[in-house]
Amino acid sequence: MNFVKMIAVSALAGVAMMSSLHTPAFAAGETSQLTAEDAWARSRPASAKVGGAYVTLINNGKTDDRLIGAQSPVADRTELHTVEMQDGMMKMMEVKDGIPVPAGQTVALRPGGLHVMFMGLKETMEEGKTFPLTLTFEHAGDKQVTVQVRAAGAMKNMPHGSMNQGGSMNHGGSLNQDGTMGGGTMPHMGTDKGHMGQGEMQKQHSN
Amino acid sequence: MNKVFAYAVALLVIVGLTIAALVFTGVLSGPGQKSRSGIIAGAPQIGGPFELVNHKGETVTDKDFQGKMMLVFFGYTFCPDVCPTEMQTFVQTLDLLGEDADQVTPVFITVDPERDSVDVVREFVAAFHPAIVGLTGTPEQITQVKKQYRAYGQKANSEDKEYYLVDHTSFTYLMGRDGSLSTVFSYGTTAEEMAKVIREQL
Repeated sequence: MNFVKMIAVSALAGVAMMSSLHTPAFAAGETSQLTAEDAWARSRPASAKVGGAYVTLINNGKTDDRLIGAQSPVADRTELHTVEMQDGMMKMMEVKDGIPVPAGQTVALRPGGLHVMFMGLKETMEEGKTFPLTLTFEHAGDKQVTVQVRAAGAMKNMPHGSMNQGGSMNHGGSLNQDGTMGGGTMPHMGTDKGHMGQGEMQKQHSN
Repeated sequence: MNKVFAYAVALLVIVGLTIAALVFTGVLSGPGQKSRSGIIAGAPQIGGPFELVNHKGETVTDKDFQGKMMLVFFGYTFCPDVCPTEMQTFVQTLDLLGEDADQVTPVFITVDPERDSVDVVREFVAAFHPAIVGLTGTPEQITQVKKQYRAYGQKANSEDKEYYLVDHTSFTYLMGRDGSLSTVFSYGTTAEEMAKVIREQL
């Protein structure tokens, strides 16, 4: 099984290299140290009791921060969730320790990975609607964003869909940073030119 | 001299067996094997008879799907992230196939029959594409089809009666017109790749 290990290690190394290629994209004149942008959700059928939302977190400050909670009037419960692949199994789970947003980095919650999970929807998440979402950070405190509801199968927030802006749409290097997907357990599954694991954390190194 | 020859033969046999074992276990790709990324080759017996209820409330069996290819994904409608993503890949695959899309039936099978009633499944699939067939059934029927497809679906936190999560198989199965397994796609396989593989079998 050493061969398998080797593949896993080199895959991880490749991912690490790719992530280090990202250049920091700071918004000039930004006063707030931490911003949340491009909040969006997929529409859900009227009977749906759960839904998910995505958002891009940009930490322009010098202090590491952490998204520790979320709240919205549209749901009874709002949790932070992630998806992990284990031996071809999809596991969705709550991120109990929150989502780290290190200083100088951008963390994108995107389909196939980190997401805000709504449980007990009180209103239908209908395409075209918007609703408020309060994100709570360990240091930055509460940030309110407006979530845009898009098509049921939307993969990104279309109005901000232009490439190479803030790096949040960079599909080329969107492999998992933590190696949970396409890991060493199934060597012949391949990572399909970086298409695997769309979403998950995308870090931008500033130092 | 004979001894040397015997050792040499023995060595060759060992090397040969090792390579054969590696090829067999899928660590190395055999010469005749198409090594496509995102596709698992040599999967064991997958597929077979099932009886389920479609999103219109009709009882259907595997026989009803024969004659066309079938693109099968196991998921649950309470899954707001991965399952819609895979359904979107199905939609893109159908779009890429254009007129040939009617040669393949995209199928969503729930692993959560307790919450995914016919109505819930119908609403879920309808949000994506009219061609997608949603299947549910009794817990026994779902257990049976999971067994046939070697698919997995297990409640992750069953103490939460209302909002429990379900761990589930992430593969998408392409079944041939006779209902036998053609290809297994790993999660993350693009619509382009799926459409390409389907086209090869038109």
